[in-house]
Amino acid sequence: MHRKKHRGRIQAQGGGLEASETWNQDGPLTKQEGRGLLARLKSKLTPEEREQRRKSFEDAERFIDGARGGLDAPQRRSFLSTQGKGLRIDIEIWGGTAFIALIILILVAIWLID
Amino acid sequence: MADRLTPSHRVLFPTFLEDHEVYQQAVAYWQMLFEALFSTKDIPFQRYYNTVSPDGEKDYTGNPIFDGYFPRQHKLVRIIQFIATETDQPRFDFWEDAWPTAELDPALRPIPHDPAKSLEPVPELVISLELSTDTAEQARALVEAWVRG
Repeated sequence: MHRKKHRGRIQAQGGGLEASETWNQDGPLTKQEGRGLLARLKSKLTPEEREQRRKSFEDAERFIDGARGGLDAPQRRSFLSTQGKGLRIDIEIWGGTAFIALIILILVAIWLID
Repeated sequence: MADRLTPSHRVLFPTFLEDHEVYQQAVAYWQMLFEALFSTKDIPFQRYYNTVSPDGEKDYTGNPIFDGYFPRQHKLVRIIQFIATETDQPRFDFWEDAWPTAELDPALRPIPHDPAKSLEPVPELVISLELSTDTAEQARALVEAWVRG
């Protein structure tokens, strides 16, 4: 796949599980897109795997929501289950910027057009 | 909560998530621990992950509170520090992972001493802990053994 500027991955890991959602796009990943990837990842897991990582998903979503002005690569954050044992959600930013607010993206686009 | 009352399990920097000054003290603690373990023994390391937002805002989440890339070993260590919110929550956990170097832009890749490893995934040790006199010792021993191993 052609490598674009803004790339990364959200993974559910630990306990033998390795499920992920990636992004690879020309524009920065918005918070909304990030939450969408997280939801898609959640939908791939069994009810038990989801329950084991309930707090991990909550923390990851809070992290995405709280990112001010976006986050630049290279970054890696792990949101561990309260059960420990390495059960977690990982967010990896490989290139560019992620979790920018949509309004900022629109303002930048308007500024570039002007 | 009883373990917070015994001296061997005393939580260090208990207000680090609320007070930025205390947070910086916790970062300095890890910096000194790594320097004591490695810099004095001529094992170089450097911070790798970006923890500053594009507008210059520093991260104060403790996730990670510290990290080190060891170019000679081509290894990463990442430390996540938290304050436990549940009484039965494990206070110390660790796992091994790999950072996919080849996926990164060349300018963002860690630079190993051995150029042949420059596109190899970087083995990473991740420690997640509530920092106490007890877990600090576990982390110290684990990090030292892993980097040297």
